[in-house]
Amino acid sequence: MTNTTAPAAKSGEGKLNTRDYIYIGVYTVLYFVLICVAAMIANLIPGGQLFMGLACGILGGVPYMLVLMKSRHFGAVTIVGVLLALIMGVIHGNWYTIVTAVVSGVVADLIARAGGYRKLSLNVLSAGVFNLWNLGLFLPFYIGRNDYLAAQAAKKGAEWAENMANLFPTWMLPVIIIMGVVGGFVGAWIAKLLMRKHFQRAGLV
Amino acid sequence: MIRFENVTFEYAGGTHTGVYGLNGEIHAGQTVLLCGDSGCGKTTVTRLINGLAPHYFDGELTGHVTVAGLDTAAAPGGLAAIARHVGSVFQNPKSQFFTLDVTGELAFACENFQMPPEEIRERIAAVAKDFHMEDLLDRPITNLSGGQKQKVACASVSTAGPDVLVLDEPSSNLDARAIAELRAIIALWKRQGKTVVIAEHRLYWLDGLIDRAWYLRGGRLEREMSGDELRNLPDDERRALGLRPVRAEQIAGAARMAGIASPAGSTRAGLTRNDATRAGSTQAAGDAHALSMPGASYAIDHFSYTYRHAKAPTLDVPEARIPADRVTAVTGFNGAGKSTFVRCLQGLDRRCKGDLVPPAASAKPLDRKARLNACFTVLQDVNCELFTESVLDEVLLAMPEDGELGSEADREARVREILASLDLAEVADRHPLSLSGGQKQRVAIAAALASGRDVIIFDEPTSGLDMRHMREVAGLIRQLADDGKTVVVVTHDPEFALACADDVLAIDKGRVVDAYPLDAAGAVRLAGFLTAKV
Amino acid sequence: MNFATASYRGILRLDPRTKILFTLTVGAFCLTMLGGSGAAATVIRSVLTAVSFVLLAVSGRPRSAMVFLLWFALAWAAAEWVLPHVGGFLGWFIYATLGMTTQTLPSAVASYWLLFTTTAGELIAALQRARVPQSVTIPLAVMFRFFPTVVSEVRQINDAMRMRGVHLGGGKASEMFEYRVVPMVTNSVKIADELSQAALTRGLGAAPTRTSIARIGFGWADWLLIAGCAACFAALAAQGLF
Repeated sequence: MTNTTAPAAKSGEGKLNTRDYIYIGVYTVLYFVLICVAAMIANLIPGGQLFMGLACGILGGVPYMLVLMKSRHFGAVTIVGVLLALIMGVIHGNWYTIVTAVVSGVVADLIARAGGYRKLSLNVLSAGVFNLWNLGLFLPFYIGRNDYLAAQAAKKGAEWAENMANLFPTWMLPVIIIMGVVGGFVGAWIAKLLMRKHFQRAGLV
Repeated sequence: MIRFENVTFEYAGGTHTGVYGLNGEIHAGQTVLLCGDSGCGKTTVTRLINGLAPHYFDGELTGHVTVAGLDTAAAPGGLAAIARHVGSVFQNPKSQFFTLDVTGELAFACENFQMPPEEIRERIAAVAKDFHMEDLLDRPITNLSGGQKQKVACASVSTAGPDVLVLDEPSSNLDARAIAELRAIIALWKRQGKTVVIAEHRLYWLDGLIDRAWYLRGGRLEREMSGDELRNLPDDERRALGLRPVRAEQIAGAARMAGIASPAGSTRAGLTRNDATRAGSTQAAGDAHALSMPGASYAIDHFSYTYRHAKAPTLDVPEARIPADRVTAVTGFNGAGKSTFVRCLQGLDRRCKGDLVPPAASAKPLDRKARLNACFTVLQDVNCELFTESVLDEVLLAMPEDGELGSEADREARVREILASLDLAEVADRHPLSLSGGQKQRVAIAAALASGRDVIIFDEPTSGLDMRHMREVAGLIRQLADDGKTVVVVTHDPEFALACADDVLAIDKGRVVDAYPLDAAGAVRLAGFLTAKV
Repeated sequence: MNFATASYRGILRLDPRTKILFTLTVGAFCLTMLGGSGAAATVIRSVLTAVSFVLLAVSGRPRSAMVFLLWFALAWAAAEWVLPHVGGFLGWFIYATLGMTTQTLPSAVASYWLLFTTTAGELIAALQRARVPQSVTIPLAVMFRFFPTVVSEVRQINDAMRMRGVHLGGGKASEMFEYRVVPMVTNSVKIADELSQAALTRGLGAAPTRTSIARIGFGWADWLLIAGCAACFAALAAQGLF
């Protein structure tokens, strides 16, 4: 009770240490809880799944930026990507997510590192890129051809069959990518506001 | 075993009291108490022993700390090397376990030290037997009570077999039963020849275990006492040092003195604590309805709480009274149903059934939803109720917008008034999260006052407070009752209950088992109940 | 993310690594539609789907297996009898829903089986044996341990908000978000700090690897399932060659 404001804890020199790993785990849980909320909101409306990436980016911005700013070393963001790959990819058997999560984690980490994890524009860009990990959740339905279903639908006519070869029309992928990046930007911007308003004044970052 | 040579440690940023010019030695097999006010530096001493200072907390260390022949600052391998010799138990049972099940937790340290699995299993079995906790093995930790969690924490450092054990306020969140078990564990370590260092505020439970006591003030070792010296410290000298009672029998005595001095005795002549007739009528447990106090009171009408899929209710209180404008302590052991009772009183859960009938004859019974706006709970973890960017906004948030104070300016003026009364005027524009723990708690109390509600509930407000802060909180709570609020305080800390409450509602196994006023006889009874050893 | 809290002691005890391999195989064929519409892939897909249901059923969850099976059957029935007769947006919508269901369900069954027969400790031990570094296993272990904590923190925060008459959906969305996220983050950071101290003083990170008391290892059932998974990929490759 009287010790709630912890004295300055030691930050790792040069590379991530065990304490950083623990913090990364905690932030990833917060990230996870928030994107679950985002997914729930998106699933409330029919077709809302298309906006899931956007919603995840917006709500997940705060923990993402905390990961970036707390350790300020290469690896932290990559680890979050690997954890997402494990939980959303490996455990659920989704190969696409394994790839997207690891790749976007590494790329986002590199982008933020280019600015020493301190340059705002690069941090925001990194958040946008990172948020593309969730493309993997959508890709199976975009790439995978479900011929059985297509054949069933084709009983309506040839034009239908053409449309239904993939679950989603081709133009959808770029739209989802753009929405994902924008969601990441918005989330990072919200995070920046909350950092200044709360977390910096509370001595958290 | 542990030697401090001219040790000075200052935290980077100076946010905390460090330790200055510490010299001393703790011999193998000794049990040493570190005592003093909060901020006296005793936690820092524990961190110097287990290596968290300087390996985890940034700061400047001069002098030498030697533990089991190891210079802690220079030890190759840092914290991990020290961890083999020193086991640490912390204040908060919630945050010190790393795995999800008890067996995994007991294995944790051994696994980190790369012991072979077979050996770890043997060690777990041995420790579980020593600690009488075979029944806990394999259980999920999240389902355990605070006391059980603390026991698991002690056991999990014990499996790796360190020679030195450091405990930082281990009893803060525990009830009497769990404290008795903790005492047994420390006695066991003592028998095993371990060196034990305990930083504590609550002292009565350590009576007879302490070999030496270090009294610190402002980061300096001010006085070193033998166990007997501490035990036989005259009452006034002990109080001058700011120490809580060192023997169980001092608790009731101290409370009686406090009771006479408290404003409650003088301002409410009709309801004095020393009402012998009432004390006499409270012997039979269970028939709480027979104990109706004179004067107005809130009546509880068939409170119950049944978990999903459960057949019988966890909480079942057909009838009970909460005297209006007084402080009622709700006491009982961990898991007795105190928290469920409070959630019902506040109306927080849909499964809560029953009404609360206000004292005024014309008032309607308050159902669950009505209670959400009639009561206000100051949560145990005040950090959960700090939302905004300034203390002023925080209190404004709790103030009803459709109250009689229509204009924004009126509302703000009222809030500033409340803040001034709680000694928070200067921090009105600060960020709530940048305040000290005590200030945060007062912000939560200010929010309760601003809500304008008549019933204010405190859920275990004193875990881990030294005597001075405990008395401060008790004083604030008394003030609320004197201002016409009905206060309910959940606590298992007898010293605190005696310092602030007028009446007691004892809960066990989800039933109200006893209700009595805190007069002289009540004080003895309460102290006996809350310091009882199993 | 609901891991089992006690180790699975039923008849089919498999190593977590085997279970992961199986889940990945099911995912590859059923979710990501490996092999497309080839004859071999279609057969493999049906076999894997059937095996998932069987594994779930014999591992002590026959009722869940039945529910999943019913769901799966409904989707097929709808594809057979409803889909060809509806056009327009509604047709697309049904098509998309069915597609997602039939594609997702088998791997969902497999991952459900993986989760409820594996404790977090066993999974971590398996990853350690698979030489996954501590930079991943430590945060992962923290995640499993921290989920229940966050849930209870969120509950307390909600309590505090409800007492102040601030309800979900009431007021500005930005405030709803802020009031929940700020205490959630600050509390989590505080717990993370205390957790770090408790873990480091018990030697976490003392050595690059840890031992584990979790009883994992490969048995005959593991080899059988691993061989089965390998056969699926081999069959597909063979079809591609000839």
